[in-house]
Amino acid sequence: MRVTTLTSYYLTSQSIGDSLSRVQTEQGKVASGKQLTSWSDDAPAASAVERYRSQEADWNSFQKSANDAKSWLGAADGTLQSMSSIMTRIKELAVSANSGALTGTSRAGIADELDQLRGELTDLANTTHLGRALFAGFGGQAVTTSGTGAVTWSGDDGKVQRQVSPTITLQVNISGKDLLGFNAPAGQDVFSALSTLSTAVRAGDTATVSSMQDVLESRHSDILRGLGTVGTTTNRVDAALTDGSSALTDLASRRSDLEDVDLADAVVKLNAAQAGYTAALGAASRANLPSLADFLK
Amino acid sequence: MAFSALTIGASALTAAQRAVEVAANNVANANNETYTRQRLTITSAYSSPGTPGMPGDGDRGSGVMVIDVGRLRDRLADVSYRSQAAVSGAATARSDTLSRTTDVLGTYGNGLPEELSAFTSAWDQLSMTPQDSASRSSVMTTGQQLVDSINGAASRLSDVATEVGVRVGDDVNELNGLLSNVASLNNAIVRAQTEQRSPNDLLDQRDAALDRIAALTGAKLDPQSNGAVNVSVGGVSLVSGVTAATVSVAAGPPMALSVGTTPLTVTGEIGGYTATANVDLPSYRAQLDSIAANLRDVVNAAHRAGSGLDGSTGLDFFTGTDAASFALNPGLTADQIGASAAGQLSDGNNALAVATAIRTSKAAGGSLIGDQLNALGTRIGQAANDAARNATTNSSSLSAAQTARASADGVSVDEEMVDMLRYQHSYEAAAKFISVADGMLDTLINGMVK
Repeated sequence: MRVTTLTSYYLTSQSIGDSLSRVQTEQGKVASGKQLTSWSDDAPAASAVERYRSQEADWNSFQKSANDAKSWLGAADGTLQSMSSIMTRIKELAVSANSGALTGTSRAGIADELDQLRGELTDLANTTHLGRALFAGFGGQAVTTSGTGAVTWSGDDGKVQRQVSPTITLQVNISGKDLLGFNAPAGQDVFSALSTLSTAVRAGDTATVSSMQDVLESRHSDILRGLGTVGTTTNRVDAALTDGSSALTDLASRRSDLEDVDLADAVVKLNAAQAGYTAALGAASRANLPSLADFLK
Repeated sequence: MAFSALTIGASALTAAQRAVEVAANNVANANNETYTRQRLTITSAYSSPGTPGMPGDGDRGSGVMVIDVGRLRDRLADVSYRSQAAVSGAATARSDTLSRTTDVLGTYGNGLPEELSAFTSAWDQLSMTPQDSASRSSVMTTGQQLVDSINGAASRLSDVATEVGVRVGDDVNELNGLLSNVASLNNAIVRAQTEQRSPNDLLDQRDAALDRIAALTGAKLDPQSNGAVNVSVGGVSLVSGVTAATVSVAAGPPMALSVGTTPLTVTGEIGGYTATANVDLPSYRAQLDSIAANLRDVVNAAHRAGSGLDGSTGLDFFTGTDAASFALNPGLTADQIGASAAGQLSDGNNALAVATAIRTSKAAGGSLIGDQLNALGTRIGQAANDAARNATTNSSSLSAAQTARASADGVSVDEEMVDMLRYQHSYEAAAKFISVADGMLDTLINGMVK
């Protein structure tokens, strides 16, 4: 090729420009620690990273829901344990009330304790968690005590649900209606049964006491079934929490593989680019070789 | 005899002087990018005829004659440079336009897809605490951010279209200037050639203007025998002899060029800008519009089923018909957000249903909203990336074509120095034989009288 003043100028300026832009690209990667800083850097990788990021955001949200579900279930578990021990005590009292040789005063004492336990059950039925009734569905109160002492169901069938993983949505509340026997035939809910029992104990009506013992037995098993449900649900939530944290770790590492710069590699590339630039500058300083003009006298 | 030697010597002196002048002019313009190196063409002067029938008296040479100072222009290098300039101009214009669109979806890693996630998570939170006013306003705030970003994306796209329009306007103004420049240079060149002068500087100027016209439009150049060059694009004449057309541009959309009432389709830089603005930007916008409409439909359908704290139900969450008019329903207050499925205040199941709908509803087009956003981002990024790579490749080819042309047309200082030496020696030799001829005359005239 014929070398002219302009060809050497074009070639020199192009090679300096190219190598400087390589330095800049590598420098940006090292400085930001990311190899993806724009959709246009590597569109398929950028798209994968965005998908991971959105899955991470979803999982974080599900983890929050799962933790909230655990706190609901924990509160329900504690309350149900207390209810269950009260029921055990009630059953003991009913047995001793029917053991025959009891004075009117002893029977009255048993009846008084039964009434007191009934009051405790009423309070437990209306337990709240974070300002919301645990067993009332979406209602404000599970049961209401009237002036005459009658306790009636005032909750609803609302299902409090938490999404704990992309595929699992769990009901985290226990229906008070099932739990307290308001679905059973009239007069067989736990509170009516207790009133009937206490009245019968006071009157020494052994037949009614024993029929109420059966009713209360099935109410106790309702509560135990509730505890079982809470236990199973808690296990599922725990499983979802474990899934979530391993998914989050996995997603973060996959995202990092695509998004983050391998620093050692990037620094080596930057050094190579800088060496290239220095070489281009050195070449340029030698490109303006002396011409024939320098040798003419 | 001796008189003829003096004339021959004089012609040699003149030729050598002219040659050194040309070399000096070349060296002076060694760094002028539009300059074409020039060369002196010389020939032997008309010989004086000998006497017929007289042996030993043949035709005698009468020295040297300067014919012309010509440009050493390589037409092939011009053609390949100009066609590459048009391709490279189009690629650069496309890359320039598309690189401005890469931030349409917001900063990468902190843009629309992330805002959609935040909006969905806000619904999750609301489902847990439906009566909490902070959760409600968080749904409103993240919703508003999503709206702002979608509106912002739409306006960013139309801003890019406007920027491109301004750029095309400037280019068309430049083109019109160049066209009338070429027409008037045609006029001057035709006149100069009629007068048998070599209008080298005018030709250089016209070539520079034609280079730029080719880069802007990919125009076809058609040299005429009288020295003029006609310019046309797609069969529409832009310069014909000494007449230049005026190109006008309609901002559109779509952007359109015309000469008078004749529509004009150009390639080159202007073609690259108009094609990108007329095809790619509207198609991005259509995709964005459809995402906004799908998001609106998915969220609204799920939201209408719910009821708010005041019992209101069947309300829309989003309104608007496209990405620009996309908005939160102005009639919806935070308390009216339909979190409840069954109507009870502490029920958050419909909020959960909205979150699930955003995550799982296959909207019109058969894909999830998040995937649709991702697809648009990928498409924009991929197109910008391809365009940038294409522009780099083409500009390297253009540099190569430019270097090849500079190699053919450019000035090599060494060559000029050699020419200078050559003619310096021929000048010295001519001066010498003039003095020899002078000595001979002296001998003849003065020496014989003594």
